[in-house]
Amino acid sequence: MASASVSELVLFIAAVSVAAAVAGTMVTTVGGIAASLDDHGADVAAQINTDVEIISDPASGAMYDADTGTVRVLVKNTGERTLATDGTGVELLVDGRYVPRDDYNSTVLGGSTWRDGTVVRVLADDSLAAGDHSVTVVVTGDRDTERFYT
Amino acid sequence: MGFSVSGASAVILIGLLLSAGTLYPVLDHTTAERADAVTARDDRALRQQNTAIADPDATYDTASDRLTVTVRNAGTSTLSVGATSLVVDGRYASVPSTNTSVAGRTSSDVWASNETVTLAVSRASAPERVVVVTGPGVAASARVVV
Repeated sequence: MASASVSELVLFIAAVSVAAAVAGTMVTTVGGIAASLDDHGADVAAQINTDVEIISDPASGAMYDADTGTVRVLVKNTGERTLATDGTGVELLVDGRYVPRDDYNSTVLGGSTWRDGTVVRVLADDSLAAGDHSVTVVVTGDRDTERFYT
Repeated sequence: MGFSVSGASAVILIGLLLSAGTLYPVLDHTTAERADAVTARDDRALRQQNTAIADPDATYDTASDRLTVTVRNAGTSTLSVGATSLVVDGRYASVPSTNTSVAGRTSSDVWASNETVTLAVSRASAPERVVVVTGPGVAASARVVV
């Protein structure tokens, strides 16, 4: 009789231990999923709220300076959020080629932060042959492309 | 035996409740955040659809070295003068708020439908082209008349 109680107690402890391990793993995993979902939701919202337009005038000839080999792009923030210009947000493609961060710099014009309505000037070192070219600016997933000639 | 099963079930149930309690607020918050962003994007698209500018005119006065640009709000959206950008010969031109006027009102930021905004900047020589870009990104260009 006593041995039956002992074995039942052992079974009970084993069952509760296994259940606790399963529940603990489940709670930890769901916590991780929740944190990832939260980050992903914030990223998606930021992506939707981001909107930029290239406002450079291709007909002015100012988009490329042949003497210095500099591509000049004016980018206006037409979205809902203030964007970063420290290199974490702006990416540049010239003729589909990625321009490394060290080869261009961006400056906010008429302000210190790139809030909505303000313009950023991007100057990129890139020697281009005479002809038609394109420049693409990508900011937090939003992109705009402008074609120009040199 | 039955007691063991009941105990284990109770522990699993507590785990399930804790998991649901962690997941639900995050799902709710994420869904609301995304919905807000989509609504703001739709509003932005509507504002852009309702934005139009017309009759751009640029005049350079050689006597005062002053470039004066006028453009009419031909859409139904009320625009912001502060969010309007001026590009002169492909280069950004900063226009102080004291050099802007809307339908004769100086230092007003409200650019209502069918009103004409005037932007003035100093230039040492006569430029050739100007582009006016509104806050929503709708633009108009004009050749400068000297």
